[in-house]
Amino acid sequence: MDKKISFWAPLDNAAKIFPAIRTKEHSTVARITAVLKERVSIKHLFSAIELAEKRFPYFKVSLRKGFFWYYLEQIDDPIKVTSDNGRLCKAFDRKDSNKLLFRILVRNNEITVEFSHILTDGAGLLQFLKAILIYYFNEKGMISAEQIDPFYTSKASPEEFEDAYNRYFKEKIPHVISQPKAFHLPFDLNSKPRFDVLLAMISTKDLKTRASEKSVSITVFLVAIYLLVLQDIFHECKAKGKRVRRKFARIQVPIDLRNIYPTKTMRNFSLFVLPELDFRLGIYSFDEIVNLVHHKMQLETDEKLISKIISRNVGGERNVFVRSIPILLKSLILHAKYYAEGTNQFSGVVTNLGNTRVPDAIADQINYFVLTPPPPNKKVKINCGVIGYKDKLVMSFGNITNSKEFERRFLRFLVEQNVKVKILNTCHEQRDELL
Amino acid sequence: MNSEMNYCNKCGVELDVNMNFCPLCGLSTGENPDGAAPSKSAQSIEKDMVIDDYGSLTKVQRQKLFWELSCIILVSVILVTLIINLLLDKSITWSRYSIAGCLTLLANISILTFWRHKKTLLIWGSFISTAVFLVLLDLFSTNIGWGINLGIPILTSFYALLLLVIWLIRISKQRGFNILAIVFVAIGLFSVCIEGFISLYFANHFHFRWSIIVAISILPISALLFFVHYRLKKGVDLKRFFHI
Repeated sequence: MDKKISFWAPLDNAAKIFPAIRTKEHSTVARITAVLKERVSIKHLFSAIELAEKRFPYFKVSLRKGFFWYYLEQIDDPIKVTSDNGRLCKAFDRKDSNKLLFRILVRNNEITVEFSHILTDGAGLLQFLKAILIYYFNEKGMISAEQIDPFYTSKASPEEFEDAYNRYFKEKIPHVISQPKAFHLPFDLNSKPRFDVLLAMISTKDLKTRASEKSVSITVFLVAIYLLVLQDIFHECKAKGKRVRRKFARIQVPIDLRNIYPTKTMRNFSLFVLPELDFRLGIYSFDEIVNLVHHKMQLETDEKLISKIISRNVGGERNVFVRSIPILLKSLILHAKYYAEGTNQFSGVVTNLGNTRVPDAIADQINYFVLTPPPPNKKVKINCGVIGYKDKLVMSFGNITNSKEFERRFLRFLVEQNVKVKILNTCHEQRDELL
Repeated sequence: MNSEMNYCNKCGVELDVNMNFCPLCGLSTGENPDGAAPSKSAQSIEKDMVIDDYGSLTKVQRQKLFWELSCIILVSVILVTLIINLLLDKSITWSRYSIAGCLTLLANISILTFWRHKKTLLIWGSFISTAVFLVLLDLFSTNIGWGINLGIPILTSFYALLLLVIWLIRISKQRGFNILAIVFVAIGLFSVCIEGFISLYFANHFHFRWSIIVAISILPISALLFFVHYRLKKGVDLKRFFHI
């Protein structure tokens, strides 16, 4: 991609909603941290960032407001590298002179990348961080050029910035039917700033063993626990005489469509499946929940069904009437639709980036990764990000309520299943003392 | 932790051996983050500012030079006109106008040179000197009181609008066609003020005719300029802006 020619691109299908719903609290900013074995050498990191800047020119864009749609436009602002002050997933200030939609944060032995979801999804964010890590260790002389995947050393391909949703959109496919509203946790919201994170480190081996016993994946196993905890809370609410109108629990599980459709895109390209429980049918055992989730995930990740969802999402934006609505009105409609329909579809989120792999030469330099999904909205209240590295799987519970009851029950269940759980210190100052 | 290791006490990152301060937070190597004393980096930034001031000192010198030259020229004009007037008419008659004008101009140049950074003093100084000039003009000519009853209200409205325009320019994030639009609106309002004060002075009541036409004519132009500025900002490709 020629840097001299300022390119621009319309937002991809998934990103279109974010400008309309992002706020200071609901920032739509995701974060991945690489915790290294040694302190970060700032000199080498700056060199690595310079290389990443050249490798991923399409991330150096700002959000611009058009008459009908927002769009991304290439800018030359320098990448923001700041000290990590512990404020997670902070919104990108529209008044900031630096208009980039991502930032790099550094502290002790941690390198963090925060991206606006407008730019990319978790997979794209992880790829960018991995590139920085590879360049960083290359600068430090710990990995030679021959050991680096050509993807990181080659020039950016135009396909990396394609809107893959549009590429795989199929005409004349029936839309999915909307579902009944989902149950939401009854906890009260925190005072501002609301967002708080609890990190739990779990043995991947232990978890894999437990999941294998049920013949399911780690994602299915964790989603099943999530639903089980929601079921417990739902029935407790009922027992306490609270009126619970919504009798469905649904978990939003993002899936990386790159595993289904061939594309090099580094932009958003994920959809989600919604495993659910119908509380009207009685109380489910854990095994029943696992079974339900497993089959629902199998079913909904079928390419034909995925194309149905893409058809609904992309079809909406292709509608001439929708397209011709000016952006101001469109943002209001999208905002209202998101809170009236979108957030009512699910009770929680489990986003699992799987087990991260880095080149063998630098594998021992990294301790673990942490994925913090964007802060949940006021209805969903809690979400969960999962990322594994070697035998360390870190669960990040993003929470905007004043209760840790959900996390307590979730992790308690894991402990009861003989899975080792270690709560990580999220307080910077206390973590520093450990170094 | 190796005590000889060079790292930032605030960010905890390892710094290269030749790094005296952390590029992330600016804290000097080994400096306590809670320390009240300014860091070396902060000192270096301060030093840069001093250098910047030194750089701008030549500009000040140039302004002082301009003021000195203005003084020489204006005082010369005053003396020349005064002498010519005295020689020809044996009294001070027409030279009073040029003297008053030159003194007002000198006062404004002096105010701009010495009170450049004191905005309140600058505005007040300029306003008072110009108001005095108008009153003097009235005194030298007909002495019917138009200076105070007509000149000063119009001048006051002019300065009030000027302040408003300056304030709006200052709070504008992006300056372009919006400045032109603001100036147009101010011109429209100023024409209303002029007609209002003139009608009050001559007819003892407010009466508006031509100024309303001027103001209404200016409004669509301003609206168009505002639209051009805020919706079609400089550098915005129409294809991008209107992509559907």
